[in-house]
Amino acid sequence: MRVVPIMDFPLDEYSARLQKLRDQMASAQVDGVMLTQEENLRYFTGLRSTAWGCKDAAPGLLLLAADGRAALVCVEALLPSAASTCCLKESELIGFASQGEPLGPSYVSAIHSAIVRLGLQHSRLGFESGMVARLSLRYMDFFALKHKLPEIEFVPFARNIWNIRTIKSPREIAVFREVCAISGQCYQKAFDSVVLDRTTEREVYHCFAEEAFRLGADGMPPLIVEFGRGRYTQANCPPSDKVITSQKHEFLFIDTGPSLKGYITDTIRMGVVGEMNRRQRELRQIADEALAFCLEMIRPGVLCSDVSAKMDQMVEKKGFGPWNQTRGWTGHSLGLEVHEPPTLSCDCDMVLQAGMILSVEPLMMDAENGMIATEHNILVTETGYENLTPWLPDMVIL
Amino acid sequence: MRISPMCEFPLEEYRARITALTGRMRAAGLDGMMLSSRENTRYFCGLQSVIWPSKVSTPGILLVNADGKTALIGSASAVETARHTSVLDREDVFCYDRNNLPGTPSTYPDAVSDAFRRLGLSEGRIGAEFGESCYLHLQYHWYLELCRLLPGVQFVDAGEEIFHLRSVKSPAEVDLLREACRRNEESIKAALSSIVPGQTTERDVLRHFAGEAFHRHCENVRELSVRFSNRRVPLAACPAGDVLIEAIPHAPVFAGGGLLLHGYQAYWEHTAVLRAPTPRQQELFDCARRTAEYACKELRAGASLGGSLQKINAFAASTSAGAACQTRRAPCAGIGLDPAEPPYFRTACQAPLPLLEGNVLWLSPCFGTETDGLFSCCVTLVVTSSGAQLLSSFPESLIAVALP
Repeated sequence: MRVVPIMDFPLDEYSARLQKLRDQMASAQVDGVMLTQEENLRYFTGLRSTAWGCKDAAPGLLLLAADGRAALVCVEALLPSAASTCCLKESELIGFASQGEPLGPSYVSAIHSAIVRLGLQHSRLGFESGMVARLSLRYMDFFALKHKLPEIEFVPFARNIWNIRTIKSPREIAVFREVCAISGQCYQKAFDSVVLDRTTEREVYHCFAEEAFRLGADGMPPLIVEFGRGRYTQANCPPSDKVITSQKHEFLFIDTGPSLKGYITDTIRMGVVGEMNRRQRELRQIADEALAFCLEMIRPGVLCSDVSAKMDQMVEKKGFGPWNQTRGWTGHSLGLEVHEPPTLSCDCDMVLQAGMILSVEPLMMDAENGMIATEHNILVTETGYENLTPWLPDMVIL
Repeated sequence: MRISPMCEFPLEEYRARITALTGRMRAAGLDGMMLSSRENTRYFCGLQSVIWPSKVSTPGILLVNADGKTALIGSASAVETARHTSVLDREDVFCYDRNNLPGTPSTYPDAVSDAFRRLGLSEGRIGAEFGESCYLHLQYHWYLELCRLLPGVQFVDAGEEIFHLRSVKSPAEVDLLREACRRNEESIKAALSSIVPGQTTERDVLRHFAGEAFHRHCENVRELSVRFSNRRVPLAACPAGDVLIEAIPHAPVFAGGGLLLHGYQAYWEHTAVLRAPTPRQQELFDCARRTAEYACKELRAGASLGGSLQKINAFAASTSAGAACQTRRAPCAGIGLDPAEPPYFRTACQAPLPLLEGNVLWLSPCFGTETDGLFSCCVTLVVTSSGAQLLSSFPESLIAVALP
């Protein structure tokens, strides 16, 4: 491994990550792994490229043998850039000529050659299948690769990767603290920018995003900004040109946040026009109680599905079960992706560990009175938790 | 189909796209099409969601049968957004729910396979996003489960069919791309012009670009590649670093990338030079300009893709800086909902595919040396029957950044 001009973290961070990957290979009894996803390449080698958005670009595919030998396969034109960001040895970077086509048989051949070079052509090869994983490889290429290498047993390895990535190092946690602080200021600016009966949802988003970059973020995942009746039920809907009106008791809902070095925050803050009515205050209170109840459970050793189930039971017991919109899903982890395991959900069998960063997001929905939600980013500590996003009142008055 | 509150084109545009798709399906002997990507679902039915980057959430898979009947399948939480953004009739949006609600499939593959059967597609050849410029937006084990649930289905690559349609832009798309180009160029120019040598870093330029782009109401930005100095400029697609832009006379600063507007991508790249370009740097840029001018005249509907590139390359080689031409292989690509999409120039196989009226391409002939830096002239154009029409402005000069 080597120090390269553009690195998110010092070299020892990547060395440690690759060692953990080798440990996971031993545990899963695989001879090697093949990684294609941008996040995995960045996490394990530091590789970055602005070409990831192009589906025919092939910025990098990582092969790692259990004995530590590695190969990064990428299109020749992007090799110099890979050498500037990827901390593998230069001899481990393998470029292939694309013969005038964006990709094609030459890519599959290059991957095949690299696999043979590493002695993995008759092996158990871990790949990104299973929990929270999607191949960044055309299926046509993957099928062709499997055809060329019939002796390889491709083994789902996503869970093993997540065993590593779910636990954030002190340096990753430091990045999170920084981007959470940026996010807080962006929320403040966004709410302050609202002029009732004039500002649109989209304008709030643009204001938020502009502020994020001004404050030092280097990425802006899509933001949810929704206002008023008719929008509350539209989960994960992009902002529209709907005007934020002066209609009392209507809510402005803002969700997600900026990224720094690829690490994404995800919080929810809401604003209400004028004031909440009585029913809305009830829903607000139960959402706050649900959050507090959930946070009290957060500590190492707790089963994630238990957190979800117990929170749902608590809300049910208080008589608010029918309005609980996050039944079965109380939150998720964060990192280089907006949704990472473990999820605080009824189907997650993972156990909380110190170093995990969670997003906890209880949400109540009442057809007549609207949606009330809150979302905080929480670091699991050795003894409990730390709230990384305590800033801003959870309900801003517009 | 119906006009949805957030649809981005007239309903007739979506109808025409589905009709064209079913036409291509029939010609290719496909009984149906399964479309899973952000770009394809937005293109064919207007679906929008912020959650595409998630590998947990499932915004939607669009199924289309040969009769043009459609179904959109996502998670229960995604249904209302699907109905609010897509133009499908409300009853054509289906879901699964992990909470095991009676009568509702509890997994994504179950819900998708139900929809297959609903559309009469439990057997047959189904086009899928396997090939060029396509990533199947489906976890691999879900794909395997789908194959198991639908043993009578043969999934085949439909990338060519999809891009045959998507590569020809409608007038409305061309207008959108023109506007995206304008905002993108302004944002990159503003970012390069903001450089204060000795103070600004590459990452500062990236942030300035993003701020400018959002100030111009873009939907989002792709990461801008910003590279300072002769050492870094040749590193294609290298991200911006914390590299200080030092006050070195004639040092180049390259910026390339783009923003999105209603899903449509813009791409532009340009170089700033500290103080002023040297005569040699100016010559390299002028050769890039002349090559771009030549290319704009050469590219027309009916022209062969590979043949056109050969002529452009030959012209580039004939310029005064011909030996320094850096883009012999792929100086351009199509652009639309993807930042690079077919048509690509294919020099290797000399494909007889002609350019079509309505193809939108970005073109960036580039000249440079290790000592002088790289200089390109990037334009976006739409192919017409009489030649290429610019959607972006034609770069007149390099940006000169004053030294303190």
